[in-house]
Amino acid sequence: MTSQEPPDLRDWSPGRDRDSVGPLLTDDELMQASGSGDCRAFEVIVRRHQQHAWAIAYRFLGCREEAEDIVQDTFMRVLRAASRYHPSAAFRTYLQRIVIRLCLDHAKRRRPVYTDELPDRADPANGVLDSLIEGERARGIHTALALLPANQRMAIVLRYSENMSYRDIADVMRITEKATDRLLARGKAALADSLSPWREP
Amino acid sequence: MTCRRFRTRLSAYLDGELQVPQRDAMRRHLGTCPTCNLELRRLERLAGCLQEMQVPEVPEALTRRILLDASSRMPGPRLPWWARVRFMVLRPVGGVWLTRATACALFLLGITAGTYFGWDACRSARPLASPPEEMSVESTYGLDIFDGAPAGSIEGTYAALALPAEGQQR
Repeated sequence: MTSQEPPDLRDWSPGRDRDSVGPLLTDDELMQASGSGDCRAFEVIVRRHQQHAWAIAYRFLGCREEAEDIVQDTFMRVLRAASRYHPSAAFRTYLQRIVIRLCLDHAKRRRPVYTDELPDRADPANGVLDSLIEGERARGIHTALALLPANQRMAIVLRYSENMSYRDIADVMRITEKATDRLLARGKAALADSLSPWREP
Repeated sequence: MTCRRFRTRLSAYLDGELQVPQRDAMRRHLGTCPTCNLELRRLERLAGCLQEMQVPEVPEALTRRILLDASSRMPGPRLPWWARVRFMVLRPVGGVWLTRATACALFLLGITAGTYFGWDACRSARPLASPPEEMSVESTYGLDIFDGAPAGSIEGTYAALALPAEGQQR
């Protein structure tokens, strides 16, 4: 099956370099241009922020296919709102709020995956390669994260994967800093208990 | 503050989110409490594991899918009139490199040639009406249409019909 190539977004300006304008414009200017129907501006926004949205969705969901759906849905919502976009915060914050909301809604709808226990720890005495151990560790972390309540999981992802401060986490999750502190404390306590077999002796 | 209370603040202390007085109090407590120290080590190792989580690169197929979906939803850019004309003229037609400029030129040439030849044909045409004495039934009503050059004409026919009957030659 041949994949359909997207239309060349440079058609209406032959010979013009795609990135000649993007780096010079701010996110707000690009959003206004996107709202006016400029596909090139929207492409710059997508390429500039997709890795960030992808990282949050992938770490939160732990599933590639679901993360792709969330990211695509996020940017479609950004596009739909572009014509009436009035920046009250940084665009990155605006995008994060959309990703977070979609992830949390998805977690509510998703049928929970119950596991009796985490994957067995590989016995180093058997000569298991370090990479295999590391792979098991990563899967163990994903499994342990999936067992957390959605809010705690999201707070942990934002803190340790995106290095966001408590204030920024509270801002994008629309909660107080105290609530952020509580979410992180409880989430980390639960994770530490779940992952105790994987800790270094 | 009790030990239990300090333990609940260990997470924020590890993340550097405590105010200076609280941070100093925590440091003093950690100097005397092995339980909280053990818990702090546990949280440090957990933080290390979480920060080492790898995330793959964004799949290029996802980017293409997003842009394709976006292009189908966007109305298209509002270009100035000169840009629209340039876009219409320079964009190739189908898979063949026959530009619209060439197509427009051929169209104009056809219009010009047709106008010229039509004007030339009209200019060299026979007089519209023949004198009544040269009229005949055949020429009046165009019955000689099978000749190479029909002598009758619509104007002549109308003129013949308008003349009195004794004025017509048969």
